[in-house]
Amino acid sequence: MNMIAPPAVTVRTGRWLGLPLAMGIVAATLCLHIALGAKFVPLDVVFEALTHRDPANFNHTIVWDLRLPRALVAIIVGASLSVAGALMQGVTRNPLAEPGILGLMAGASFAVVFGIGMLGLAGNTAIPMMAAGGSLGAACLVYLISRWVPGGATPLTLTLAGAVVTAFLGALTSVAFLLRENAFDSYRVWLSGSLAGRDLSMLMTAGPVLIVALVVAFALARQITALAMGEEVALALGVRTGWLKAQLLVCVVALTAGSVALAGPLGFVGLVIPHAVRLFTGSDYRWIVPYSAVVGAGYLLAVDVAARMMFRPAEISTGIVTALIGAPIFVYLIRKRSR
Amino acid sequence: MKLLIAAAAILGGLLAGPVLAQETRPFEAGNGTIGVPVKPLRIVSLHDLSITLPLVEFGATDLVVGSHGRLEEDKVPYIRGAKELYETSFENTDIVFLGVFNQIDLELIAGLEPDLIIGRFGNDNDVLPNLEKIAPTVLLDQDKLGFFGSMQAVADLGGVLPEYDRQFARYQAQIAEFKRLVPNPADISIAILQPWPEDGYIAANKEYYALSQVLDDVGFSKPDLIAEISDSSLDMSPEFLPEVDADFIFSTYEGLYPDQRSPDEIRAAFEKVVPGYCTVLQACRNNQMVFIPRTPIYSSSFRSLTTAYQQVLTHVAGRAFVPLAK
Repeated sequence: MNMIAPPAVTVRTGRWLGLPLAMGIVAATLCLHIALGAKFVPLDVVFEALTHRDPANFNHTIVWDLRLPRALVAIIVGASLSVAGALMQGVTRNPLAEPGILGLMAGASFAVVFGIGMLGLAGNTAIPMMAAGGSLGAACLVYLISRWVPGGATPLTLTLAGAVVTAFLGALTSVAFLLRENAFDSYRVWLSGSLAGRDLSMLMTAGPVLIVALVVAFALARQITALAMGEEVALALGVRTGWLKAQLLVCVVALTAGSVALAGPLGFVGLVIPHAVRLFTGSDYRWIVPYSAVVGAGYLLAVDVAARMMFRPAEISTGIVTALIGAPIFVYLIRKRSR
Repeated sequence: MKLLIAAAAILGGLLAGPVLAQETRPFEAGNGTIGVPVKPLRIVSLHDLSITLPLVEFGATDLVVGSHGRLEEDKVPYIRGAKELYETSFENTDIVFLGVFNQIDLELIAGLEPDLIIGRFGNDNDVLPNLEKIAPTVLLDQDKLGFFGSMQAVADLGGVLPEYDRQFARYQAQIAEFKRLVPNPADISIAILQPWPEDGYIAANKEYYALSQVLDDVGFSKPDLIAEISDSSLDMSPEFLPEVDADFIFSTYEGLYPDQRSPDEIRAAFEKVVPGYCTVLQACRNNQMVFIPRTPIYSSSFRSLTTAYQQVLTHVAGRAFVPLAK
């Protein structure tokens, strides 16, 4: 039966079946995230905590107040950054595009640091707003620089402009640190990308924005497939490319800003996941976007488990682990592209 | 005319004599054996808290021509520790502000024409080759020297060792008095914890400058997890909070940090890192958690040691407490 089935049907069936399977794996990773951590909590105690919480039991506090909020943040940030990366790769037709490499994360981080340290702004509303402003500003700057150089906004010039803007904003962030050393002592780990110390209050603010942005991304996925084939093809297929790009820019900025507000600049997630997903889905963004969301959520959950367990009783920044995994993949992609 | 120039040169040489032709002696430093002036007149300090402050404390303020410092919120530079403990600042002395952490202005140092530069081994190694071109540079290996060894070395370099010896003897008497008042200090455990809410961890401190020095010298014990730390502190996962519970817990607040200005802000920070932390820690449940200002008990100085001594004496020796169940 299988032998006579058309390949397209097999692939489509695989994709449909793969999605709930991936979601099942994410659910299993979520359980793992709650069960494992810096401190060993027996599984029966974890179950008891989830079913009959006793506020006086510290193990229950660990499960409910330390691990569960962190897991929820990991899920939404992992999904958001992965989808942001996928959208950017589709729009720019640049396989190296992701919020970190194209300067959006540096923009968001700088804006948050500047807002907190120089303007004294803080709080669950101000931080995502500052991150959004910084992210949008950096995106515009990268685009303008790449348009300005000879050859226009090619994948290479976009990547180089992203590197320039990231370096520039990184330097400005360092200056802000020097000027207000004391004010930023509390944000050392956050700036390396961390899920530690996240409570649900920031998630309540940034979460809805991220969810809306993800839904919009799912809705636009079909048109991104056309756009990824080239501007002319997309226009021929009736896609209003200018309007689509504007929508996607807002989407990517929202996804990046919300993620940075929640977890600081977590690098390479948006690069690694869409590429991994393409191995299975091919180049159809109707599949790349939802798969990126699911796999990205699971990936960040798994990475965070490792970050919490590797150096117990200390924890290392999740961003360090994502960079350790992402950097070699980035180099591999550059090598592959240069051949 | 030639005669006039020669006379000026001789006069100039005589005036510069004390600086140029100083008697030197060898000094064992982290960066090797350095020939240092026996009586330095123009010292540059590359760290406020551990070098400038002891020099101020031992009466050598006038010898310091330049120092590392920090910036207050309004960007006014200050000498941490010296400001809080001795009201010594860049404004009311001739000490020149050289820059903030790892951003020392080398040209400014050269312009001050120091006869001795004191820095920290490990931290200042990168700039050592340039510093050595300006003046004899001593980098103190503070990890190796320890709290008193570092202060003693600074006093020795500044030519104020007798003052160090006098204050050290006084401190030893204080510790002896403490031991008389608290006969079995090893039975009392004390932890120094600091919450970092934005980064989601609790710093469990094995070493905390003057405060931990007093606790160690008296002979108090620490929670096992802290005692086993190989470094000076551990950025500990909040999941381990019960493991660092103790008879007494000390935490500090610091007016210079925008989010740590008061005991209430430190309590709020603990609550953010671990919701319900106070029910977890018996020290907190029994009101045996002590919040004290940081710099006065944190600095490398005998005044900090005395302040820490008085605080610990008041809170630990001065009252009955509920011991942690062993």
